[in-house]
Amino acid sequence: MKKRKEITDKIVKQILFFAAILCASFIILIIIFILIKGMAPFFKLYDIGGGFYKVEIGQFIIGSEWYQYPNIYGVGYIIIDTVYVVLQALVIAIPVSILTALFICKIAPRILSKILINVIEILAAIPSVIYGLFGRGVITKFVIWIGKIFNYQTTGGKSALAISIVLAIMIIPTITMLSETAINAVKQDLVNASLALGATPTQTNFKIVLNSAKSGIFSGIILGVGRALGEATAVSMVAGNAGSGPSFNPLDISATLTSTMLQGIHETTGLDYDIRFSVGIVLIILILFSNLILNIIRRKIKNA
Amino acid sequence: MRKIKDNILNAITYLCALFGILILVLLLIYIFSTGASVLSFKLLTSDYESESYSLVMPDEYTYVLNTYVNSNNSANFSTKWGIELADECNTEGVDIVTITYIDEKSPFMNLIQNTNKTSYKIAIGSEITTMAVYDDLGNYISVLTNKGAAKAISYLDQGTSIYSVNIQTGGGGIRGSLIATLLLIITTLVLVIPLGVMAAIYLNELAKPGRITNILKSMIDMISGIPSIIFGFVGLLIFVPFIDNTFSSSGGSILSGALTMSVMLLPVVIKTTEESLKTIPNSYRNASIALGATKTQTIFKVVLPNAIAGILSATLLSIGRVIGESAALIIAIGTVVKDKVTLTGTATPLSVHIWTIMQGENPNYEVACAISIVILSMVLILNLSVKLLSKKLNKGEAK
Repeated sequence: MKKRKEITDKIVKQILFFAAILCASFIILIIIFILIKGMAPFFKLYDIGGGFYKVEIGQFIIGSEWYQYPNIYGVGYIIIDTVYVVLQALVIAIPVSILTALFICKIAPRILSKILINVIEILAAIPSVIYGLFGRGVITKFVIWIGKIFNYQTTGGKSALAISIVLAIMIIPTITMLSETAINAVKQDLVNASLALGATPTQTNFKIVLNSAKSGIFSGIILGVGRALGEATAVSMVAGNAGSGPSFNPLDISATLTSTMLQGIHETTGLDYDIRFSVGIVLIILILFSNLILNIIRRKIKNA
Repeated sequence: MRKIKDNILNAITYLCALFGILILVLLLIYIFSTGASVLSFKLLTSDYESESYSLVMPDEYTYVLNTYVNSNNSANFSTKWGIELADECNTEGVDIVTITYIDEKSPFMNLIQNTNKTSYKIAIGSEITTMAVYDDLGNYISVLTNKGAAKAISYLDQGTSIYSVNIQTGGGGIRGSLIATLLLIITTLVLVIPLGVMAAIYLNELAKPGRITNILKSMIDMISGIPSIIFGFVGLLIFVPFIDNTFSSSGGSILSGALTMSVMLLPVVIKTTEESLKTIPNSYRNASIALGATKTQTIFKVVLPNAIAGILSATLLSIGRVIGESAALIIAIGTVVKDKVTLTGTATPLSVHIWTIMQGENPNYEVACAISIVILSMVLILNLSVKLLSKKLNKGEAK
């Protein structure tokens, strides 16, 4: 009797262990499969119109044109465009998020801060395809209007500016929520000391509270950057998918790594299909790289 | 001087805080003002693809003069033909003429399909695209439907026999996508909840704290850092061929989408479950073991029942994520809107349906916004439930 119980215990433990191993192994599976498929265009020969071609890896990385028959693919300008729109988005999102968080935690009356917390949570819950729809229906109109002011004919409002605004809206909740946590964690003693020294509440908020919360706020920014780089649907709906670049005109059509991967994925085969996995590798590397750099900066800020 | 500076800084803070509210209000106004007009029960229950039928009268049919009773006192009722028409607006916002009533003895009940000569019962609500009749003298009269129902009736009443009737059923609806979303949610939950809960139990209850456990945990954490579009590609690479081979289907399917979503949601489910496992006091476990229960019995009879709230909130979070996810599903399932939804066939969940109708030259903003209203209300209800649940959970803890 006792033995049977021991055996069941062992079996159950084995099953649960297997489940845990299975869950953990997915990450390896993902990396291996994407790597194999994504590296293929640089090593395998593809039959295109009778000839056999592969893609030059150097040309792929610095290329300024997405596609040229038969085997020229360039992703360099797309990397620059992606970084450019994400930076633009950050310029909008960082001040708005930090000040919103400050407002919620330190300035607003209780009711207002509760409302704002809920608003931010709802914004975080809205699916990206709806942001894309909003971008397509409203923000592109706004871009067209700006274009008119500068006497510039936009491509139906699809532009780098539209992408940055949509991305900014999408990462504001992320950064705001983490900033809130960071600001709430600032010790009241510090605030009291500042007030006792004769600083006004506003001075205290900006010079003491934000300064002590900067490390936590920076974690929010890191998460926001990750989300912005990986966002696909909303971006694709307002990007316009520029075929060449880079272009630094905010009113011009643009392309991001994700929008390039997503466009027409179901209509292609062969090299044109496989190359999207290579773009996927570039995207993962870009996200890891930006994470690394931002984390180094965060450590510097924390120690300063 | 200091006061002015403070006021300026404060004003900027107020403006920034307003920005979030402004965006939400703008978004809601846009979605509701565009989508509310086409959001109807009909949109939710009708098919996406419309089907056209060309109907004719069988040769052997003899017309009997009859006066039909206009029981509804409708203005657009033909007492001669026993048929009532109405002006309507289809899901794309185009004015059409539809059939709202047919008398049982009406000649319209005897129409057959032109292609295979089988009888066809006209469904109420079908759109009449074109119609032609003959009058007494054998003159051909085209019944124009583009000038409204009243005009069509007046043309129709001039005729005495039917030459042809072309009708079209519904179309533009989202019934298929609604079903696909439900199926996707169910299959994803069936896959991810047991696996995630099992892994969480192992990591929290059985695993010895140490290097291997930490490595396993950080590997699961890494999954959550991968953008959703990459999951789509993984699904396309691993799960689509797997499902195709197992069920001899072709291309993306709801099952492959569900597998993809499961991998994506694993970290969420494991984390949420683990958190609720951690709130269970150790005294519970010790008491159970002290009473002579085995580890297995303790897990299934003491630990799991106490973690049920956490598992429930993991479920709700997963449902929300499945409803909102688009990028991964566009790739792992496909973008072809289907009316007949099967687990192994391609179909579009609601979010991908939006993506599909937004492609092309003339995006259908109205229907896209109507679907958005549906998605938004589902997501908001789910979020509210999670909030209430966690509130209840915290209360239980405080006791």
